[in-house]
Amino acid sequence: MWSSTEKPAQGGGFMQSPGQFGSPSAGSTEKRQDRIQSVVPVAVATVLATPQDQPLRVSGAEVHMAVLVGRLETIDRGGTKVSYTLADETGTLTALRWIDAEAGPEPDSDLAEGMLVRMVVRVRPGPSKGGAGSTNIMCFHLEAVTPEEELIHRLEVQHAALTIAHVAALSAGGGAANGGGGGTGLTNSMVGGGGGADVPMVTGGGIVGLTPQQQMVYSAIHAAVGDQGVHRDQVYGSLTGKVPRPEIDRIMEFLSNEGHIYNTTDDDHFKATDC
Amino acid sequence: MIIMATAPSERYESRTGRGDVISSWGPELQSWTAADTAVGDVTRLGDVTLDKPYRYMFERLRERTDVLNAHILRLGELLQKRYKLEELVQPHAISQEPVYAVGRIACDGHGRLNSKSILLEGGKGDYGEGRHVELDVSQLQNAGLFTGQVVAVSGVNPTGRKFVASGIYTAVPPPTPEPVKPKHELTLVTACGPFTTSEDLLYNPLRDLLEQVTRLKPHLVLLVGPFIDTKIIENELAETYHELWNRLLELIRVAVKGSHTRVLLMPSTSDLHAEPVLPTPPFAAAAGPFTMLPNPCCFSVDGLVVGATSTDVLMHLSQQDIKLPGGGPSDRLARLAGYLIDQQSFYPLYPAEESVGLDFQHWQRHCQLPVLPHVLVTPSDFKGFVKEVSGCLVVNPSRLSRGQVGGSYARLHMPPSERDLAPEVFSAQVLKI
Repeated sequence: MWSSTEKPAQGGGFMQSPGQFGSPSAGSTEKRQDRIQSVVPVAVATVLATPQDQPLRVSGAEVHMAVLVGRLETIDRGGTKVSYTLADETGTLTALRWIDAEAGPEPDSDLAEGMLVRMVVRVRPGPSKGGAGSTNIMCFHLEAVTPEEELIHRLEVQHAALTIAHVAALSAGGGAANGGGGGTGLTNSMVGGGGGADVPMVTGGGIVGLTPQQQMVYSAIHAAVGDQGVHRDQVYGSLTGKVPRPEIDRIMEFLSNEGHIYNTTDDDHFKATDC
Repeated sequence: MIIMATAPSERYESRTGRGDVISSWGPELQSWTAADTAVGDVTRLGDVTLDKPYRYMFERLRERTDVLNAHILRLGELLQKRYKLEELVQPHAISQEPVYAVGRIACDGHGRLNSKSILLEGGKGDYGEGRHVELDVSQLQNAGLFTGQVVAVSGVNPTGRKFVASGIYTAVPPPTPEPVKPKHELTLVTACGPFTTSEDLLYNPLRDLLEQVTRLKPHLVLLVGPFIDTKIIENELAETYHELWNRLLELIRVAVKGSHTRVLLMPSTSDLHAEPVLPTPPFAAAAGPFTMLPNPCCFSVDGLVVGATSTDVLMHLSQQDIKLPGGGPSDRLARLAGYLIDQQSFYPLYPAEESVGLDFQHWQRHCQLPVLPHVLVTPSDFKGFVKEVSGCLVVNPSRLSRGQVGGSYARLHMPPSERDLAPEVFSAQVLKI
């Protein structure tokens, strides 16, 4: 969804060149992580509280895409852009969307003022050009939501902040072999609410203590549905370029000796024990 | 051809690696052919033995709770004795000072147990009211937990709602059997069903196994169901299940004719000609060298104590088991098998896995381990293994056939010895059919 609209809407201005985001005052050479891909649910107040020259942060981690949920107060259509005023119970902000004539029908055609919407936005640091901070918040996607979803969003905001803090604490400890937190930043499934279906619970079963490669093979087998499980070749296929085949064979042998997976109909079909 | 004229499974016939050893234990043997000495009778152990079918699904909830409760109290008492714990309190009692409590591990919702969903259910008796509290295990390390496990914990319960455990006690192994010095050797071949491939009813894997039996003349052959598996019977049979069963018995009878081999048969809950309930009563007696055993069963032959079950309890446990971090790498299968010994039960899981129909009153009488067996046979979908766990040799022969291809079976040798019987003296192998 939003990723497909990202490119045209960005218009090049959102490429993450280091200079654009660097803290201008101190001149510190704080090394930025490359291309963090994260979509984090936040409250409007968090965006409003962000200083003009600072990127949006949740629990200390930089956020590039944010999900807001609130009531659409005004829609102001212009020739090239639409500006929306969004309010949740923590505050009110104005977001901007460039109209892209080639992108097909307008995404907000079925929306009206007063509806509850979810909005995927990008919060850009730097002095605002259009005044009142409005141009800093760029909307990429919006859709109507139910009141229940709005409630869930509030929980997700809390959950995301706690998860980020937790992951940061884990990677600071250096011990987190699981969870994929090691240096690659946050994956969407970990921050977004309700994600993580493909990542087995860290606390589950004997999963504790697997190496990342073993975890990948296990996840590939764990994802299979049906009584037959998954064929060896499918595991090869899903891990092409990530884990070499002889290594996959070794890992599968290890996992079945450890009792994490077992053979179903023949020696080449595997199934995870806890699914 | 005994039954329907279907073509034999090509994939089974063209299998490779016949006789390959998957797992082995103990000193290597020159020859697995057994000495021509008869062994003593098979004696079933336990105060009461399950000999004939019983009425199931007539259980009152009240009786069931009594059984579950008595189980907590019994193991709780043993835990208290073994670990010399001070007075036990109710798990939900408010206490700022460290105390000891006993209860059963339960999960607070549906689905898999995880470290945040653990409840401790107290027993109804001197030190409990059958109420449950949340159990905080964040301070514990390197413990394995599963639903149904009876444990003692030490810790505090400052609010009455959450018991914060600082120590946990889980193991009460059954008493060890009388020490014996085996006077003569004994060999045992064991295999678990299904005994035919999923495509046909020719029972070729069973025939191949019986060929080995005829050649090696083991003293005991323990065959564990399913023999006529509910899963693989899709063909229309031209005969009743009992006629098919009689043919299978005849097949075995011919294979061991004229030898000293004794054949022990254990039903499975997925056998079409057996009762679909755990514990499963034995098959009807049949003429020939057969001993019919219930599932599960603990028996002794010349002092050698063997425990066996046909239920895939290891797989069921693995779906509800969590291991708390710490303690380095662990052998998961050994831990799962260890649960049986630590909880003195062939089926310690509660609630039972969906496919298992458990009759609780009979479970209480017949699914417990009266003594620590020398050898525990726990067939499972897991890969075959032989491991020593808490002084007991655990053998998983896996299944004789697996879908369309062949599986594995196990053989075990007990040499005559001057020393007391211990896991080290055995030789055992799990090998491909």
